[in-house]
Amino acid sequence: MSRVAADNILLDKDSKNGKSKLNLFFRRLRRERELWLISIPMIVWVAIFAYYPMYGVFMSFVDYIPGKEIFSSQWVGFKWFMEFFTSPDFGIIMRNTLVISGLNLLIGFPAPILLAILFNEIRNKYFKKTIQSISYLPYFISWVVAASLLYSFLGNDGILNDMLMRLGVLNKSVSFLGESKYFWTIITAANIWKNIGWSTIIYLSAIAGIDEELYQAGAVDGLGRFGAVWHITLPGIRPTIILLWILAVGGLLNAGFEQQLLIGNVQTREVWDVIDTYAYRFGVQMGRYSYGTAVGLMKSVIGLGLVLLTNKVSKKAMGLSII
Amino acid sequence: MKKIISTVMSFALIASLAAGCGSNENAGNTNGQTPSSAAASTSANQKVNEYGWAVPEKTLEITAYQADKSNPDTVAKNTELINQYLLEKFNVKINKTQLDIDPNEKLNLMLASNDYPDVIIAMNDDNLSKWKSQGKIQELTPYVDEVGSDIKTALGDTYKRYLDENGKLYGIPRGWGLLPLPDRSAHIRWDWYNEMGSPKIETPDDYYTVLKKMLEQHSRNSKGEKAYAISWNENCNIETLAAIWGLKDGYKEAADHNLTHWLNTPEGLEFTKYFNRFYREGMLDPDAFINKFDDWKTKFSNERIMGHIGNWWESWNAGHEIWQKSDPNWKEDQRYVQIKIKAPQAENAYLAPKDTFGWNYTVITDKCKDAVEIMKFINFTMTPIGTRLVSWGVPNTADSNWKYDGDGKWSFDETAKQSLLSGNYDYTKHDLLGGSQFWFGVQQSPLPDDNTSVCWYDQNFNQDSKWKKMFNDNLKGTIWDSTARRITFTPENPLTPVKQQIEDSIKTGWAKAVLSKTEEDCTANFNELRDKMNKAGLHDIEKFRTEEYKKNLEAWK
Repeated sequence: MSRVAADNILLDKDSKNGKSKLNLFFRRLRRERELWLISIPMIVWVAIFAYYPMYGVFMSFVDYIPGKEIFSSQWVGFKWFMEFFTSPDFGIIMRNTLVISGLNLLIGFPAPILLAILFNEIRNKYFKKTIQSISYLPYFISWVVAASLLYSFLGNDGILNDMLMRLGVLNKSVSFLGESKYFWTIITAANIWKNIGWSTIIYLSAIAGIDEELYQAGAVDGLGRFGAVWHITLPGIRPTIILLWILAVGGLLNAGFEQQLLIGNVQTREVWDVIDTYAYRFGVQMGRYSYGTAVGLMKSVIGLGLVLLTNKVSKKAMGLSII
Repeated sequence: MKKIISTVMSFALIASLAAGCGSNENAGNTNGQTPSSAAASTSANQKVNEYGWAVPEKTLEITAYQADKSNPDTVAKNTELINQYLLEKFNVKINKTQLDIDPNEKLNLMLASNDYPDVIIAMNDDNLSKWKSQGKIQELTPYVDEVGSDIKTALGDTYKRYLDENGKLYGIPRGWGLLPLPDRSAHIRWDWYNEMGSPKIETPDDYYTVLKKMLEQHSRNSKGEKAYAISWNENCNIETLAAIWGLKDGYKEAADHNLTHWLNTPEGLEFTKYFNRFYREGMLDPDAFINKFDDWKTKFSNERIMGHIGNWWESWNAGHEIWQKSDPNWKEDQRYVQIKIKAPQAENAYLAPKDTFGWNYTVITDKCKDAVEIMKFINFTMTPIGTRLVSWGVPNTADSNWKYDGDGKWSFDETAKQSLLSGNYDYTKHDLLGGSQFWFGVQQSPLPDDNTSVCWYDQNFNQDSKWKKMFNDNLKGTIWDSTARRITFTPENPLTPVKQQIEDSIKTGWAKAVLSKTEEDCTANFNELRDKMNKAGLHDIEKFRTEEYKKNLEAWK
């Protein structure tokens, strides 16, 4: 009998005897003590830097004034949340956040999967390495530089307008960065351009883990390259895709921050202002920390809810989950 | 290990607190005097320097943060020389920091972390009230009473304006007084204007007509790039445009002092349509609302812009100050000149609001243990000679702006003056002298001893400088006292976020109205914006401003 099976029998006995699951936990802890010991620095790090600062969320329920103790500030309950929900900008902010992150999810999520598969299909090793490296470069370019490149490319005097006018496609320049109707396309494309290469790494490593014999067997069974991708590669990386999808859905309200502030402008504010930029402008910049914290907390709670929901759906539908 | 580090850090903190914040312990000081008493006393052997400053025996060290955004490296470079001078002549050492981040964020972080220096320069009204309410800044009234006689003299009757409801002073005002010089205006490319025979420009329509003709003659620059009559950058100031139509600071004032925002006035629609016409006729830069400052400046220096409406120095910085360095064939009249335009029905073009109350304050925080000594130095910087020193920088060097012979005898440096008049004054080089770096309580109005010299060195020769004189003459009558319009929106005020939302929306909505394809669309977009803003609370803002304005008028009669 395996140790795990023995533990389960013991747990049944404990339960029957009225003992808690705590015994099992400690038994496991003792058995896995080396692993826990190794994990201590990480646990301490998470406790200090991820959990300890969370006491600050209390700020969203009080009228905090910088310099005063958070816990001695006046309790205001859900005042800041209500203020956000009833703000005239609320509808616009939520719409922009959901649209931009929705586009990032719908287009930006599958794009690196596709690129990773394409990389995997390249037979020339040196060519593959070279274009892989080139694809990573935009990830290391700051948004400040990226925005400047976009202005050079898409501005009224930019390369694109110049090219289209020389080709006779346009009579006069188009303000791609000044007209709201182009903004979501531009920011989605910019997000994909910046992250696609970097995001392929995890998929490429997942693809590398697929047993080569499966491809050989598939070839014997008559699978072509598309068939191999569809029947072997994609199912092989399915757990990775689902894991990353669940996490990505959790970040549905993370629509960006720097890129909005840098690429957005006065003319396009109604389509770029998202939760994070709003919380920054109306919370941090105006010294209304409680308000900014309330907006941030609302975003985190919704994000957590979405992760749990997606995880549950994934577990039920595909038997795969992260928790 | 953590415990040891924490313990060591705690000891270090306690030791540093015990050491006090404002003075260096001098090894030679063995008489047991406190830093305060050492500098405060005027003992027989205490030296008085040529500025009349009683040099303290121990170095007076002031740590300060200036809540103005600036590059820290540039600040360090520009304070080096004056710091050496102050240390040598005054035995005063000022460690000032300035950062390239939002000062409000920095001040909030300082408050939240309880980590801030002795002195904070350039604190605005909102922050002052916040810091005061938490007891983080010291009441200055007793220090001013004790060692600040020059502060009281300088401020005169206005001193009481800065006292709170309990008669206490918490901040030394900076930038107070009236500088009777215009600043905002319309601008025109002067050499091209002269080529056209200098037609009359008095009204917005005149300005439009001249710019249109000028654009026809210079539709592209030498590189073949398209030119425009006017442009702005993302910081377009609508209030300046409204001033041409007779509005003050963006508001129309009724006889009973009720204020109406420009969006709710016929003038607002009129000037919106005026600029829309520029857009429809291809005369307005299509990037006018999205240009970053540097892009906008490049368009200017690349001779793609004929005119401008804004601060006088904007077209100087972006125009001839660049051309005279980059173009060996540059001629003197290749520049922009500032002119006044006024809508025919407007009473006046109120282009230059002057808030005599000041920009902001210098405060002394509760961390400071040497407030009296620091106040003594602030007091010195508010004397006429002290103001000159901290405004014009170190005297008596080869590059100095002025000469000081002691006993109050001073003169402008002739070389610097002539370079300014000839337009060859090198601002970057002169910045190294440290002028304007330690403005603790500077006044904008002329200094009382001669009633002519002012804190900005270059503004002292306006009547001698051909171009400055022309600009001042052109803009006569555009200055108005806006002091009573100084209204504070504190973070606790429920109207503060409303005001921010409205300001953001107006910037977006007004750009949309100006960039409308037809005049009908422009009017419709303007009306839509007006209705939306009124619904969002613009009338509440108008009401609040009116009430506060009336209170100020009453209080400062």
